[in-house]
Amino acid sequence: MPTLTEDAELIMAAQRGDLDAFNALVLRYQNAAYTTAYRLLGEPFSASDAAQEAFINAYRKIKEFRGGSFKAWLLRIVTNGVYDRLRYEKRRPAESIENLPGADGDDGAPLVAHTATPEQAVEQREAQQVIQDCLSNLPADQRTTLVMFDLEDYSYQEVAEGMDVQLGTVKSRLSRARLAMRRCLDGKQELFVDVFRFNN
Amino acid sequence: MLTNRDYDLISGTLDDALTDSERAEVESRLLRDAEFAAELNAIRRTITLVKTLPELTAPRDFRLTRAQAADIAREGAQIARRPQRTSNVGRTFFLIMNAAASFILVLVGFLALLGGSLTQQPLPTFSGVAMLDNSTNTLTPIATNGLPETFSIFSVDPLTLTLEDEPPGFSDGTADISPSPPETEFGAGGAGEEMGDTMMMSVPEATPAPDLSNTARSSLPPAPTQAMLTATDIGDEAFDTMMYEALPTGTESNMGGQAFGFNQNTARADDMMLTQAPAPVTQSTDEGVAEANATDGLTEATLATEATPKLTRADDAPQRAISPLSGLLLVIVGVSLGVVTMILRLRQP
Repeated sequence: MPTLTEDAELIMAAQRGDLDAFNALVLRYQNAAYTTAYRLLGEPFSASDAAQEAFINAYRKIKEFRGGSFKAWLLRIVTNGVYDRLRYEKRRPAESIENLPGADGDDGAPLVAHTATPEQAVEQREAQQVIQDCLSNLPADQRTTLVMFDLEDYSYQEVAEGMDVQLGTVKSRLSRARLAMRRCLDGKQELFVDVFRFNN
Repeated sequence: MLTNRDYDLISGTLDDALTDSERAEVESRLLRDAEFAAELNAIRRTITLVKTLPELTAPRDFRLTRAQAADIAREGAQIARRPQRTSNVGRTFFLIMNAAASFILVLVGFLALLGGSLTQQPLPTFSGVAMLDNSTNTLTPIATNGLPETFSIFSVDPLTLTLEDEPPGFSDGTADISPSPPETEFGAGGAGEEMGDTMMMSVPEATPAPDLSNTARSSLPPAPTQAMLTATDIGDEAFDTMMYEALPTGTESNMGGQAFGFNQNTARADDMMLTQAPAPVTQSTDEGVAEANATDGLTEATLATEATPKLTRADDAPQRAISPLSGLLLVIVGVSLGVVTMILRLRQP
């Protein structure tokens, strides 16, 4: 786990134009960036593009970074970029995300973080895919709110600022998103027995 | 069945984001509402499941290449130059607008200086009372309001301004009001001026008066007749002499007039009124009201007219909205603005 001090040194170097220092930061946070993009977009290719775009934007804006958590700053760039992309796709629904190559997750990144046995790994992978599917079926604004708040641990205020909405809107969207997820996952609790066991 | 607000409370409970009153409400609901408690647990479990989603491994390396970094740097340099171009565009636009404003100010100022008529303004009002002597058919002013001292009625056509002595449909000392020709004339000439300079007022034809009894027809005295003329918005200092002409049956609502000093004038029929004491007969049309009263030995006619503010003067003298002094000021300001604009243009890189 990189420390803030290590990050700060790399950031200062990157702000002076040191590409290697910036790329060191990329290596540290590219999984987090990709994961966030994947949770929001629901398929690996778009998530990969979004992550790459986010790092380019981060390099472009690195001189504007004023301290704090680089990871939070980077993930905000990722989230904003993906959210813009989702809104653009909502206005131009020419091609559904579900129809894009790799939408089924077969060629995506590994979804299993840790496993006990091969059977349990399969079950865990299946459970995570169900959760991801439910997440992908949420409206974009609810999905973004849920990912930012429940997965990336943003505060209400940070979500509101990131999505440019009122605080009450964030709470409302989060409540609706959780309810939708609860209904989507209803009846599939047996899939998550092992998940609970592993995580407990 | 839980409502959206219930789920908001549940969500807030799980985020520890409730107010004291909301928290008390939730605790109360949890004690007495099993469904609410069950949903709270279900949502909590859902959040836990979502949080179990692991961090994924990026499918490829996202490190930037030297070429990408160079492109970004080049793009940044272009963006840095862009504000300067924007500034020049804004500056040029500002100068163009300055020049246009300068031109308009100078133009308006010159027009004002040259005496061009820019707008037409409503003219002052007047009212008057005149005595009509039927024997001489002359109107003599007895009271005026807003009229110059030289105001006088000097001629009346015997065939015109007439309250019929024994008109049909007369009753109770009340003069009958009959329909009149479409137009009569109401004119005034300036003292010592030609009568050719006149003002014309035209109003629509009135409808006949209601059919009244003839019981008091004879009570109407033949003469003299007092006519009170009231007119507003139709005269100014040039209106110093007036001739009143009215056709025999047209005294109540249809009037036309010509007044020196105006080449165009219109009067609304609803602003014209003719009364004859003591008991008025009022005739109303869609466009006018006329009253006539008969008194002992007098016939009093009150005419009220109001001209529209579309008057222009017969001698074509312009109504100035901008005085010559203001015009001169506008020219000075416009020229100054133009000079400043030119200086700024010369200093523009």
